[in-house]
Amino acid sequence: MKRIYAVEEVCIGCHLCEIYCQVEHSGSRNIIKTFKDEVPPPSRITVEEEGPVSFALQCRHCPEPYCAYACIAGAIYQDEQTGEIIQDSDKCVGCWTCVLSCTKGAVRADTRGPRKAAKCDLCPGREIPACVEMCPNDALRIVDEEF
Amino acid sequence: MATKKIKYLVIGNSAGGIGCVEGIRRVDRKGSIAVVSDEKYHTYSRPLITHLIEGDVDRRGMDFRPRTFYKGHGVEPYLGYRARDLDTDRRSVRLVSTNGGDRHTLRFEKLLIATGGKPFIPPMEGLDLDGVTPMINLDQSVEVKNKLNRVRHAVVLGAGLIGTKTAQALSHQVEKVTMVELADRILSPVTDSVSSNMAADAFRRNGVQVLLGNTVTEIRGDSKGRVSEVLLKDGTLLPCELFVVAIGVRPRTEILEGTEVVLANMKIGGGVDVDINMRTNLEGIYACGDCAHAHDFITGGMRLLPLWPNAYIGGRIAGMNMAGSTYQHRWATNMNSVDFFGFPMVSAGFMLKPDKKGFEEITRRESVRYSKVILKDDVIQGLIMAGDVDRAGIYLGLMREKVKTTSFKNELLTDEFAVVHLPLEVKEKIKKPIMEIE
Repeated sequence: MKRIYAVEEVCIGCHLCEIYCQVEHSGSRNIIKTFKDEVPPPSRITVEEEGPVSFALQCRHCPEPYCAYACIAGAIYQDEQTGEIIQDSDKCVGCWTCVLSCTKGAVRADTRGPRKAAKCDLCPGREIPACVEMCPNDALRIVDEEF
Repeated sequence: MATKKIKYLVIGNSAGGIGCVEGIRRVDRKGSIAVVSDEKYHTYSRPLITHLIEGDVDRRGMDFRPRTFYKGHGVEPYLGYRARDLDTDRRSVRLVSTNGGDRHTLRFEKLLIATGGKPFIPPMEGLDLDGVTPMINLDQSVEVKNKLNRVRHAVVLGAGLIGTKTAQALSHQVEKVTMVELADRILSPVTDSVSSNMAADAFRRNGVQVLLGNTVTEIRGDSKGRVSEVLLKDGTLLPCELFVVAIGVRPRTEILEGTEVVLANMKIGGGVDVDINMRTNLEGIYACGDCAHAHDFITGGMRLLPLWPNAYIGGRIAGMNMAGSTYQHRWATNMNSVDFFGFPMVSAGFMLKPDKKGFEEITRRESVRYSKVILKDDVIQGLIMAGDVDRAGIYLGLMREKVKTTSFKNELLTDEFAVVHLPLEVKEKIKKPIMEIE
């Protein structure tokens, strides 16, 4: 499966991954429209900083996905082919049980419209996820690994 | 009457039963599985029955798994069958169709009891009237939904998780909803007084009347046998065309009557006595979910935790163990997450600071937001987040891992709190995917 890894040593804390994650998951997928005309969606990746240390964190697509085990709606599941943890927004009822269950704090709340959980979906339709592609210092890498 | 041999028999088709099937199949791709339920439906998300009334989820949206689930997992579903005459020596059970007639005898090697809960309904005049119902299954929610057109005023007795969710759903559908709760606050098992008041305010702002320290003593009907009003303890009469009793659930363990499977003392609520591997006292027989006890990782004791995630994970672990593994269920505690009218609230572990040495409490309060942690010797043992639940799971992780927060205790509830401030080994672990059940 594809999994994104942060390279802490070269992360410069610029937060561009967050911006491009929001753009990718916006209505327009246009950076100007996303922030000027729309309510931007929550970023599904979070840059954390403390002094010189910074890194980005997003859904780890855990083979033991407690978010999925806790979901009251059957909206989160592991894709048998790819191993990715899929969150089906149509089924989500916005109860936030996954937000409480993800010990990485990687499931966020999207409160723009009907309340929905939002987490890294590895950018379906893109060969390389937006955060990885747009990182200016190669601090995010996509790795293909067994699941 | 046909007798059939099955390797794994699962009684229950909700979170626990489905978790068990998925757990078995992680370990054993082939062994035969039968799932039995007295409800005739494809597995559905029980916590969404109130959403069906509210209208934000339709019948199909309630499917807990795709309709291909049983076939895809090699499961023989017996839906609409009641299991009875469990013989733990012969390892057999009789299934009787709920619409009469059809009967089967199943012999099994391994058994999961995931029969869930039954509503607790105190004896009261008028319970048999039309328009009086508990709210724990799909039939009940469909029935309420179908009657909504003749309901102007609904009364919900009990402001626990089911009662509050029912009141919220009804408030979108009928003219007036009143929630009556005997305790001095709503959601008392999953809140403290501050967070409870904030949730109650959300209800009141949205037109729901909240009556505390009161209860219903009598239900009265009209000449057609329909509920028309309820009488409260303080003498108030509330006219209503719908009365939902949502005081609580009790473990459903009738199937075990007359067997040697040990039940917990009724003083602690009853329920199937299991160990941390989800095993009962009898070899090969397991139990999970609302009908059974679970290990609480905060208190360290076994208790009833009738919560969806506990049922699913308990069932999943039972399933893997039925197929030969030895996993432990270390993921249960009093743990809840709700959203009332856009006001989110999560909580876990202790809600109130135990009056014992070593416990302390840190709170943060703003107008629309409240958070609290309860610490024991600097380890988090209780969490409440109301109004803003962002990244709540990080705290739950610290609770599970029993991380000493001494070095970052003062930042715990600040905006700056994040994974990066945690001790190195904790931080590095959080950055990695969870590969194994822990």
